[in-house]
Amino acid sequence: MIDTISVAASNLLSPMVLFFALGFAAALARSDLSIPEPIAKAISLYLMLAIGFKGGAGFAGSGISATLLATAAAGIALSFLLPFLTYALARGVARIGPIDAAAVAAHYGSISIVTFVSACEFLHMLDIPFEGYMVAVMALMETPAIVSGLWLARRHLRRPDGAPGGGQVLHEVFLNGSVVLLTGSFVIGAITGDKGMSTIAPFIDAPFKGVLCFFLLDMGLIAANKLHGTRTLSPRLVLFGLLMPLLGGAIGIGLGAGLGLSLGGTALFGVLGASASYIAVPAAIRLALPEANPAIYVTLSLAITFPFNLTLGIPLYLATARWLTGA
Amino acid sequence: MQTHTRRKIEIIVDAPLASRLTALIDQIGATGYTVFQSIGGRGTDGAWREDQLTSTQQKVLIKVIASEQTADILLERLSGELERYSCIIYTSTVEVVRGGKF
Repeated sequence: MIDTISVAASNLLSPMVLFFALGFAAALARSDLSIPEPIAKAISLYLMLAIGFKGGAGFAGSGISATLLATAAAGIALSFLLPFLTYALARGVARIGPIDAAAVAAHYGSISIVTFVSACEFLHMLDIPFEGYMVAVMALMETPAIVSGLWLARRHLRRPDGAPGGGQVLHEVFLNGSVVLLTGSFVIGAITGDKGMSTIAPFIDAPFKGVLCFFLLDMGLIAANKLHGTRTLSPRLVLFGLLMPLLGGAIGIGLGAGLGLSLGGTALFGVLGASASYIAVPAAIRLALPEANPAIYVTLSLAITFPFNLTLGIPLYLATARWLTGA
Repeated sequence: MQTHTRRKIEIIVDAPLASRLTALIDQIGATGYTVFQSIGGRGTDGAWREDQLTSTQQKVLIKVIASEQTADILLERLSGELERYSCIIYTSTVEVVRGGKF
């Protein structure tokens, strides 16, 4: 127990979380500190490229195994199915309308790359190894949830001209920038392996933590600004935003343990289940489901769930994974 | 100097939905459009700024100049999407120099 608390404390005192807190506090204090959007976008592209490549290079060392295929399948299934649980909770606990609930469901079934990356750094800090292919599992879990969310919404849509080119929407969703970059980098990392890694390590390895800190500073600013500007937050929504990651995390950890993943892999699967997208999915949902209110789904995943996962969630999921796997 | 009267239609809409509207504008047959970025604003849903990482609530401005008939068709098709896309549409009359272009 003491060990868990000290682990949680070391997470809270890590540069990453502290920079997040700095951004959060600065925005709350109404400082005009702001990172231009193109820079933040560039940083998020960098993070995706780097994590994708590192995952691929790590995978090249270990190769395809039955566990990998099973984990990938479980991840895809989780991404498809978690939205249904989310929908039920969003309707029941958060008491939001069906279309908004479907949009929220798509977010929580998907994953947050930055939360995953922060969790990886946390595990590195504690010298806990994890399977390199978890990055690939993460990439696979990004989009199925959107399909489920759209399916959940279809009964409630009143569209005189029918669904706006369903095929076109799916094309945009599955070929969206972050999926292409993540998967592409993973494949390149897998092809070039250690040799490729040593070639571009000065760009994607050494600066990674610092760049992540800079990005989290911006996330803190954005999260606090969202909270300040919102008119749609109710106690029920906040409760949902804290409850849903715990549920998703528990399911992910259970799956990871059941698949026989390492401690690190199980904890990461929990993080994947618990996280909600706030960059890729909001844009996709805004396009595919314009009837849904972005003030709800963006605020929930960005201003409530992400900060919770970053500060308290990650150490909690590790502790739970440890308890469940007996490691 | 001779000028010609045309209609200008301006649409303020969330960035992810702009491509839908521009596709519609192409479909109706307007000769062109221009898309502008914005910095911030406030509406019934709350305030937003351009530095918020996800472009989901960031607004762009689409300007179209067209003939009277095309403008009418465009307005009719677009107002069907008003509620759904939560966009703002307004129109005005302008004088252009090269009438053959619009």
